[in-house]
Amino acid sequence: MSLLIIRDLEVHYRTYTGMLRAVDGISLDLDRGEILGLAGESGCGKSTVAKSIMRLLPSDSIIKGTISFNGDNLVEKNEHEMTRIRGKDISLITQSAMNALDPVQRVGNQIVEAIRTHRKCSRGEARKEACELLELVGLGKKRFKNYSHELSGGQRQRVIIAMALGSSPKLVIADEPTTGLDVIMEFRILEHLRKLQNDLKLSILLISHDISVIAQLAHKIAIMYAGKIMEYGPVSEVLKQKAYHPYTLGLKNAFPAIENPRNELISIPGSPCDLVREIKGCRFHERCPFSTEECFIKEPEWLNIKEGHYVLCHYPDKAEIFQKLSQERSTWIKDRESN
Amino acid sequence: MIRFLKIRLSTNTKIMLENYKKGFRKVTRELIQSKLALTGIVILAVFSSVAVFSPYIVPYSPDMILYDENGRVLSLRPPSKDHIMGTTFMGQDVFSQLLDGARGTLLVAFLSGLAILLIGANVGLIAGYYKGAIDALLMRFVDTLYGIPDLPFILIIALFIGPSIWTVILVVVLILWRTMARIIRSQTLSLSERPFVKAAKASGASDFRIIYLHIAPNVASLIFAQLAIMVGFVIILESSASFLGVGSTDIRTWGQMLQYVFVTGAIRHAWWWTLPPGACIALLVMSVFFLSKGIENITNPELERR
Amino acid sequence: MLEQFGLNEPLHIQYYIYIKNLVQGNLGTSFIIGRPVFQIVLDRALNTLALMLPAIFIAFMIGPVLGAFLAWNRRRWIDPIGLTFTLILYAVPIFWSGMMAIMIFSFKLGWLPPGGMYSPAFVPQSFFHKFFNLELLRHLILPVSVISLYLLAVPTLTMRSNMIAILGSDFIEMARAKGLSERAVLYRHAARNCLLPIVHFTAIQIGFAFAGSVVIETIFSWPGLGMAIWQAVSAHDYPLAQGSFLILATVIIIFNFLADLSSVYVDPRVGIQGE
Repeated sequence: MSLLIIRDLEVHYRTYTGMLRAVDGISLDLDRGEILGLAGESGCGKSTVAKSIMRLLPSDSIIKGTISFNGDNLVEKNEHEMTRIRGKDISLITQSAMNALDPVQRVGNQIVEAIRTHRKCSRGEARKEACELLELVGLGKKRFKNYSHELSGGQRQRVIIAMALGSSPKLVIADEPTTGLDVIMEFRILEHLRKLQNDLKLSILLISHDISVIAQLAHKIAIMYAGKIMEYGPVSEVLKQKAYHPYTLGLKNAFPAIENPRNELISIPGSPCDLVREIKGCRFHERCPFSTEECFIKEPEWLNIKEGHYVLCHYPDKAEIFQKLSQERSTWIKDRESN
Repeated sequence: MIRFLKIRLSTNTKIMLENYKKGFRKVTRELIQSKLALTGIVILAVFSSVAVFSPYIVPYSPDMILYDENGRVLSLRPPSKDHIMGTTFMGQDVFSQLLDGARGTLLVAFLSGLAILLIGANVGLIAGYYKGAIDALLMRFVDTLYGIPDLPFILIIALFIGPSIWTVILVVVLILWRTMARIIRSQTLSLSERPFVKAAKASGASDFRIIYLHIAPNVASLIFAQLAIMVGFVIILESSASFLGVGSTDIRTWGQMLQYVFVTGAIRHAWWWTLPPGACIALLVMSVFFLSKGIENITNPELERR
Repeated sequence: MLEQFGLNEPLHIQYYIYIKNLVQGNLGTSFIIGRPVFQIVLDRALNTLALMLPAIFIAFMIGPVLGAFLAWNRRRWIDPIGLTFTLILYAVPIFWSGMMAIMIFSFKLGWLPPGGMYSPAFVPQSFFHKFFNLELLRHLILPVSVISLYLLAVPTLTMRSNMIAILGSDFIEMARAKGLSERAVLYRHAARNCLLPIVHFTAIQIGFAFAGSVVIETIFSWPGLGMAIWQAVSAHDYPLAQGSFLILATVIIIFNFLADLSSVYVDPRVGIQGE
């Protein structure tokens, strides 16, 4: 059964130069006890999705569509109702946890605050729980009275995780939970998250630009580009086997694999498109090595290829050819060529 | 214009001028868009033109003592058809004095501002760029007189070298250049760690070029925003000093006008004499502040979005 | 006379004598008043404190609250109005507002006395009585109001910009994500973080507020340190001028030091070793 159902979500920001369409019609499902990974380049709109679920967008933004959580549409809720949901049913682990802790309060007290905001209990009870949470994330209760500047990056991140779990949330949104940490710490934290998810049956929306993080942890993956989802399906299919969308193929190329070490990494040339301009056709057509006239003019449709596997492309039938060609360096290096 | 003057400039100087021109144009364009800054600029422009043209537009000579039909001094007359702001204790026309006072006040503001800019900004740039011994030396200079209160200091200095408008300018610049130097220095410090400076150094650019061609344009908007605030201080300091009698004695400023008001005990009735100079001072300070806010808004647009 | 004042000695000897006297508490004798400077300065200092401390207290209590209020409501109509008002308070020269205040409230309306610390007939019974009586209160109202209004500007503006900067920071976003109400976010997290720079900054501003006492005391004929400096300068009374200036500068330095000290206590990030 689905915990979180997003349909046709659009988020627009007002800027100096025009209306920036950060999220331009995305849909996804997250089931209970499942981890859904949301991947994409910086600036493609992933964090905006996280913020819109929590309704923490800046006041000059416009949100449209449905975010159905446990049957309620979060888009329609007012601020007061949202404060009751935030931190209780849905928790957020933010990007840059370096600065997410109040510098003048002890970290333990901040966890206590997270607990007592949504539940009536005594300070003593809350303290005890906070200490348990600190143990749970591997920090130990002697860290309770530290200030955030006394902790390392990894430790701070774990405090944030403890804070997020304090209220036994139904959904945890982890926005770049390991960015800025070294790989060993990253691995440890991800393993921790996996264990917690297993034990507590959490549902997690895992957002990252690093698909190896998502590969390690998630069940499903959605690949985002320029405000739209390009491909959506089980991790076992999309990442571990063969993907359908050229962008996904390009992303996979850009990450080194230990099993099949390639000599060089192939990156996708170009840079993400400007989200203010009105875009006809496929978002990715400028950087896609397989794009055609049709890609330039007409927007592709959201196609269901297999059970639970969707792609936004004109040519899903050519997937086999794309998969083979995308492994060649020459496909990406030369200028965009018609197929 | 460069072509007109037939000056041959090296390519690098041309680039530097281009950078400054670009920065300047960008700032002016956005300044005009900002209503705040525009108001400030307009008021400043009005005051400046008054100051420059005042000898030609005053209805009466500011120092001239005026008599009525019976030969009595026109002392402390309220506003009337002939004298829209009334007369002073000595029978002079307030409005003319006001226009004349603009000269002194703006002169001090302008000269001090220039001096603070030249000294403070350069010291800041040099200290921040070279760091090490030079920085330490210059900053000791700045730090030694840190805790000194401004107005009393002017008084003491005036005691020793006599009051005049130049005393005021001297002391004011002495006090304020330090703050400017500090701010510019810390900004320069952080900028000189940036890659573009290291790249310039690596490609062999001379220090002079780096400071004035690369770093300065980036600090420019900070410099001018700070300068605007400082000029605000200067105006208030000068007015206060002149009011106390230790400031300008020969050149008329608005502060000086208020001194006469107080000393002659005219505050009992003569609102027409008391009100205008002070209001003008306030307006001038506000306009300068608007300007600086406008500049600041341009350099930090993200602060507005939240 | 030259010999009496030691003015015929070489300069460095004079300086040495001055320092020696200073350490002993001897600041010389005032030319115009004829009493030892030290005594005069002490009296005057107390008078200045009696005037400035209430004003500073009011300004620095109300200022931050006002600033926080403006920062919180920065999108609504009240912010530009509040800002303009604060700006006017800052831009208006204090001696002018003092004069206008006296003109309106003393001469036109006759509500309050135009200056001085006491009415001429008043005779204080004791030290305590000298500073805690109704006469003084009546004479304090006008100057303190004028000074407070003037001093209000800077704390308000500073608090407002600090607050705006903090409200945009990550930990505030996190606090909101935890489900805290806007009010809880403001009081429990934003305000505490704002307070730190404010405390440090306040003590420094207090120092400069004292500097402005020169003008204010002149307008209101208040016999304090500021007025002493002015009188001394006008009369070329060097000992008095130097003495009062010295004491004033000392007061300011004391407050600067208190500022540094307080930031150690209030901010857990600042240790004694660090600066």
